[in-house]
Amino acid sequence: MCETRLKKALSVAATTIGLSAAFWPLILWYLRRLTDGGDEPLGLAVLGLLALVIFKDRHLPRRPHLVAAAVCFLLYLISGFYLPPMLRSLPAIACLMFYFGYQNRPSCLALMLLSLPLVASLQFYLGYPMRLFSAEVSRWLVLPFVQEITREGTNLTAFGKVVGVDPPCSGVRILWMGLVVTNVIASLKRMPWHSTVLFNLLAMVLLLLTNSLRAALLFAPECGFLEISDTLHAATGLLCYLGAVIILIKVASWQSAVSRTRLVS
Amino acid sequence: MIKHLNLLLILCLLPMASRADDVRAPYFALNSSESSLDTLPLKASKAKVSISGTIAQVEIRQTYANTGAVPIEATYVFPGSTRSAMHGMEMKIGEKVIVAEIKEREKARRAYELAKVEKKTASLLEQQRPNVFQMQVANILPGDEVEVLLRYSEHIQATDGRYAFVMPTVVGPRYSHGSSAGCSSNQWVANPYLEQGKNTATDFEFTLDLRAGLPLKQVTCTSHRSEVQYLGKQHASLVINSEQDPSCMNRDIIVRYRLADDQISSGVLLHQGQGEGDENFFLVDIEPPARVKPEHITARDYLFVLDISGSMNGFPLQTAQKLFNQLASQLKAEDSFNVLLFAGGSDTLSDTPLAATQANIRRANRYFSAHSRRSSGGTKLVRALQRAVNMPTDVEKSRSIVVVTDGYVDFETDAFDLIRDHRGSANVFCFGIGSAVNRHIVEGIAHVGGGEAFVVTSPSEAAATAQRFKTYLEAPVLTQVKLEARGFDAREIQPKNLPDVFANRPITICGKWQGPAIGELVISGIRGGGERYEQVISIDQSAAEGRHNPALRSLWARERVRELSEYTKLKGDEDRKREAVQEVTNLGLTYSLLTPYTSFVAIDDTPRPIDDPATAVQQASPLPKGVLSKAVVSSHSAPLVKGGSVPEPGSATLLLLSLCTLLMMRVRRCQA
Repeated sequence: MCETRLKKALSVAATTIGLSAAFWPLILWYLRRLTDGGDEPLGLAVLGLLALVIFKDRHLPRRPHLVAAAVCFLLYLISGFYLPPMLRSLPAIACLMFYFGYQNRPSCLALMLLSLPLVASLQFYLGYPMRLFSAEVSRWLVLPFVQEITREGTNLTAFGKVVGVDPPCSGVRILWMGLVVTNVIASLKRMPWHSTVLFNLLAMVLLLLTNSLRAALLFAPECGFLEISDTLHAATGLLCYLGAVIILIKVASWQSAVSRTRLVS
Repeated sequence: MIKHLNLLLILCLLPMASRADDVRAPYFALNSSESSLDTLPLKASKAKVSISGTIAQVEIRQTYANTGAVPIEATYVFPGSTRSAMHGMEMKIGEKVIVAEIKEREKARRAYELAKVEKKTASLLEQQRPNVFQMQVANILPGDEVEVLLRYSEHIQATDGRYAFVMPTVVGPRYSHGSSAGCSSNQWVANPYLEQGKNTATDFEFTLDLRAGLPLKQVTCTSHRSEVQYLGKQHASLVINSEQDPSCMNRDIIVRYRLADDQISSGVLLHQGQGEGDENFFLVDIEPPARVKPEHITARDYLFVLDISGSMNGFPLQTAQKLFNQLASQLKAEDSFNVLLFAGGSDTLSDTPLAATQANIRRANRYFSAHSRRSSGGTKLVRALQRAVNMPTDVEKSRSIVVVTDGYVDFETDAFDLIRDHRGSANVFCFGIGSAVNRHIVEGIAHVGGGEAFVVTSPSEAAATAQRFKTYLEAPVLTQVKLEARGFDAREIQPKNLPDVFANRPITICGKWQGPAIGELVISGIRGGGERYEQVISIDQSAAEGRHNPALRSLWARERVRELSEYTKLKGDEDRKREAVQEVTNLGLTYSLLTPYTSFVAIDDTPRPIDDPATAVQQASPLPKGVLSKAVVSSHSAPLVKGGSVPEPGSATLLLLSLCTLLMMRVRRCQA
């Protein structure tokens, strides 16, 4: 008994040391990114959530796919010559997923991806299109009440007042956090691949619309038509987000109920 | 799948995105991981200033060296005075001295690029703005030392009996929307900066030799700690260097001096060409009459346009606030006022002007303090000015628009055009705040707005400046100013139209002359009390004192360029623009003057042993004193002033809410 435990502990230690050595450059990069101030270190919170999800499902059967893991590891090694660390982490994550047999848990894969320092990159690449989207949808939402509203780039103008959907208003943070929640729910509901993908797509659309709704609701106070405190300003955003999360939970519950019904029938 | 959806979203929104402003922004210099590359090639910058009377001759010696292992092409963006006439450049490699040629801008760049390809060491000096220059030195080999010598002249004027020589040492991080018509390329705005508090490694030295021509009363350096050496009654000198003060390159060098009995140097300086066909020049400083305060001072309507952008964070904003307090406290009860705050967007205190009651002034102060605590974002000055000129005014009162900014933008001409288009409806005064203000925009706004420019470098100057502003407005020194030449063949006089004189400052006029140096110049106008004023300046007497002042050549040409291009509206009128550009180009080529359309280029004809193309290196500048790192970080992302944007909730609160929701979900499930 003792010998088996020792063997298991040695095996875990050897695996941990081996993987740490193999992914050492990525681990260093990740630690540096956590501390360089470029991104908020929220990836750690996601890793915590992932650990909880994995712990909860520890008794579920897993089938490690060593050949696929080896291929991914090879890709990781080759990508070291020409890909930046963020992209190199993709084959590395895939390798880990296959090695530990989590290839059938898409939500775990998504959580691993979301734990990367993504927000700054998303803000850089997607920030402006998302701001444009939010500004345009907000305009449509406000239009029935304020006919004079116009959009110039990411700015909304009415009665000579300008309200900007600026980088801090892009909705990237809401999108990222919403996707984390989406994948935790998907994991709790043990959604298969196709359901997880559809659920994520739905979440993306919903979260983008949530940010637009938030911007539309805040348009009047920001224009000076209504006086609201900073707390109420933040609360409006949180309420919109909460609404989106509740919808996602409801959809997941409904989907889960439908699946159960199908299984029973 | 997620990746595909994002791609689809980008593709869908691309047409909209293409309408986005072309924003350029400064950035922080990164430490190169490549030890073989010398990323800070400017090893030394030494300025030698000789002031004789009211003319300053400045020599700047920049030493570029490559201590790395690969050849480099160095680029350095540096500031100059707004009135400097840059008229000469030399390049020295080893013992070889190459005198730079002045060429049309495009030709100079082509010659430089060709030399670079042909592996020759070359240098190119371009004017990016009247007070911003860019030096490029190509093919500096490892171990090389290339020295570039720049020469410029400048005319110094006294204000209220005080002279000030200003030498900027750093270009502040500028915000650019890239759409400024009439502006040349704004690539230079994307300039690297060292982090806040970091000093440049460049060895800097500034030496001043002052010969005032009249007994000196007081010489002080108000920006740096420096011992003034008095070498005679009329002669003083001072030295500033990076050995004594490692941070000396992060702010303008300001040397102020007064003459005995608060005299000012007035009179005529003449220059007679030596050869046949050479032109003659004159420069006249006319002492203005004493200020007369009218008995009845009309009520005014003030609109304060205050910059609370990211670059104003910290000390500039504190100074602005103090200045605003002082300005507002000086308003009379019958005056009215309003406040417009701007950064990426704008917001006003009230829709209509408010009576200058104590209660309203307190409200304005609270409003400014509350908003300035959240200062961030870009400097959308033009949009704010647009809003300001369209704001309702009290028709019974004369309006004054008071702009307070650090001027860290690069679309000066748009601002000038806008103010010019609305000239007549208000006088525009501009206060530049900070240790390295963009004086070009501050002076330009005041110039086209028929007002005055003020620069406040520290909070302690706020009260005195506010008092000066009040005095200027209440009692202009001279209005409807006219110049007449009697018996003196003066021509091509600059400026053509003399503005109203608010400050107690000499009226400076320069021009060319022909024939004998006899006759007189007569200046006339209306004094504050309404009476007529006339002053006569004799040419004969000045001619007897000397006719050799070669600096007048380039100073006249510089003033002509200024009149033609810097504050002149050229937008829309293509023919006029072409003519003006051609005239500025000709002036540059004729008078060997750096202009927006002419550049200096020096090429060493000997090819160098280079295998690979030189690596481009951009010299990083220190952040101006008092400017926080936030100015660089936030200058391209432009959140608005509060009351103008809809920021998302913070990450921590979102995370907390998410965790609570998930927990609730689990609890409900367990209960079920």
